[in-house]
Amino acid sequence: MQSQNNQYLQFVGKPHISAVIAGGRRRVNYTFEDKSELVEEYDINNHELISRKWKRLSNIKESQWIYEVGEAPIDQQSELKLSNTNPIFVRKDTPQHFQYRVRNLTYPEDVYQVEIDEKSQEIVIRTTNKKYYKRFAIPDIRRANLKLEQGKATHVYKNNTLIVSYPKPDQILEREYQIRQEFDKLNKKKPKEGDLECVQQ
Amino acid sequence: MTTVNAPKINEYKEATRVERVGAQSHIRGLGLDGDLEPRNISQGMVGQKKARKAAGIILNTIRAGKIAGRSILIAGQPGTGKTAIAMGIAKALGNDIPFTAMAGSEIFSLQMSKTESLTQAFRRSIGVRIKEETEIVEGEVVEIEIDKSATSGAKTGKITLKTTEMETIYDLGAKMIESITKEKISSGDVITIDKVSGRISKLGRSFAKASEFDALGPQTRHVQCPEGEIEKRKEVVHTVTLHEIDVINSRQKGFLDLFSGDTGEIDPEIRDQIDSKVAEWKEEGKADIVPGVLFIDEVHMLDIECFSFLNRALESDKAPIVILATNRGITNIRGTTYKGPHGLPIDLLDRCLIIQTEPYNEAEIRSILEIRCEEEDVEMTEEAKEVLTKIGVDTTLRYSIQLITTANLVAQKRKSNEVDVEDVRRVYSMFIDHVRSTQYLRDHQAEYMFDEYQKQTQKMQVE
Repeated sequence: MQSQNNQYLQFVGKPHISAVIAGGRRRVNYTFEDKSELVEEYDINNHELISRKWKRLSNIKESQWIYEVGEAPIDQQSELKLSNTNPIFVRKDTPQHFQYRVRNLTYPEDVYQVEIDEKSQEIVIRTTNKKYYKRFAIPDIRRANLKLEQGKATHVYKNNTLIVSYPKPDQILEREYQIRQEFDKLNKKKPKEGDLECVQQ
Repeated sequence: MTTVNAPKINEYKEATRVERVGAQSHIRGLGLDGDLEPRNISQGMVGQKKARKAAGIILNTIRAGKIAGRSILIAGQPGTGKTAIAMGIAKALGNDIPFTAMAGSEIFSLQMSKTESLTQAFRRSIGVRIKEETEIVEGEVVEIEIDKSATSGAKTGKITLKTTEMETIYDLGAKMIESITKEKISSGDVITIDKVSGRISKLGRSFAKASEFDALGPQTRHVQCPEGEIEKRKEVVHTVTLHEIDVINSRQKGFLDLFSGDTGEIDPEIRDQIDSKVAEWKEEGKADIVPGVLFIDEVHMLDIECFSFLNRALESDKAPIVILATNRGITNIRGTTYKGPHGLPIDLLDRCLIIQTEPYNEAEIRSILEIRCEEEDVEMTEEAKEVLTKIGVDTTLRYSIQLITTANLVAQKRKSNEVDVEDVRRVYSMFIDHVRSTQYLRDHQAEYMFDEYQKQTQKMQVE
């Protein structure tokens, strides 16, 4: 079964955008025509993307936030939750790379294998001792209609953490540059906690 | 300050829990063959061929799903299998088609008006089949650990699941532990857990563990160990009822109300919105409407207002198939001073197809008793069965069924595994059926309190 995380993470029509400074971060809210939402949080100074989450509405059940970047708060009441001994998978980008970290991995370094599955456009993390396995796509690349290229994914293991990196394509680097410019302009107005800003995109 | 940890007791898996057996738990279906002909004894049903055949035709009408709003009335003397036939239909329809069973008097609630109760019952019987993506957890069970704290009695647990590529450990909440114990999940089973609803399904046993046991249950399937990731998003086909959608949309934390059972009145505006939404989904192909079955037992308990409501509701194109059952003859129609056949007004009867059930003959009673003995796990000698059958013929079927387990208890007291004639005789004398009870009352009326006969004699004395 392919993981179909990607279906949710697409822009649907033209969103209504608003931004607010909250908790020392710039939070950008996108509301789409079908009432689904996207929330991004950026560090106010270096404009680093801290978290990105999506919400699709469903008439049948409660809507939940799906985290693309950053960690979802753990539901303590949940009947079935991952034990804290399990590895934790988190995405946190650097300016030049998409980066994914898997914490709490205690197996030796040579056990990990990272490859790109070109057919399903996913990065696959395997372990030779069959203890950890993860398939994931990079939604930003999908949205830009680009492809993952074989051999570009690299990985490094230290401090019980496996770090998988994929370089950002030029197109995306440019867009991020534009966003940073826009935020710099907004920062010139010296915004304070709770300020609402209007954002052009 | 050092914290004191309560000593934990490791609980070994509970032995098979004894399930309580209901009066119609032996019914597995209508017992019809491919041509809709009822077999004499099949799937728990015995005799009553005409009624079962008619029910089979209704069953196919329901399955076809094209005709809404038919009503059927099953009428017959007490103990002739009316509820059993409804159960048979329910079991034969399976889990996909919503089947709501209720008794006539359940309509009268202080929390809701009668029409609201009826509307909710109707909407509980109409399903909407939706394809949805849910998050599921699928894997082969490696190990289950359930601990019970000695002080608080609360259970905590962990489950380790694996696939061909990975392993994960999950912490379990109380409800999940209960489901796991109930479904008797053990190491080597391949299971799926829906993260949102908490539902667990057993897919089978892993091939790798097939050699562990020599004898397995008849239902055991062997499946491959799942591949890939343990947490996946899968497309699942859900059937929700219109009532559930109403409740979720009627208030903030609506979905919790589904479990607490207290729904209260639902705004008709919301219902209208939901109806148009569902019609939209149907147009877009996202969902299918599945009309189910609403079974109202003891329908003579409804009053004239309810009957008028039913008349109207049956005419809607979204109405489920309504099955009514009653054992009354020509009785008073509640809410009026008129009498009607089966206690129902004629305009409602006109909308119904009536199936009649007849009392069982001796051979049929014998077969039913044998099936019940098996269901209740009771061994009986041939002579005891003869006596019990005779009792069933002389008194009523229900009375003789009730004697089965009681006679078994008496037999166990004298350390025997099999029920014999003396046990049956003992319980027959200990527990009286209604015919003997009535006779006894006639003879000893005067000795009972508030007796009408006594009052009359007192009255006569005063005058």
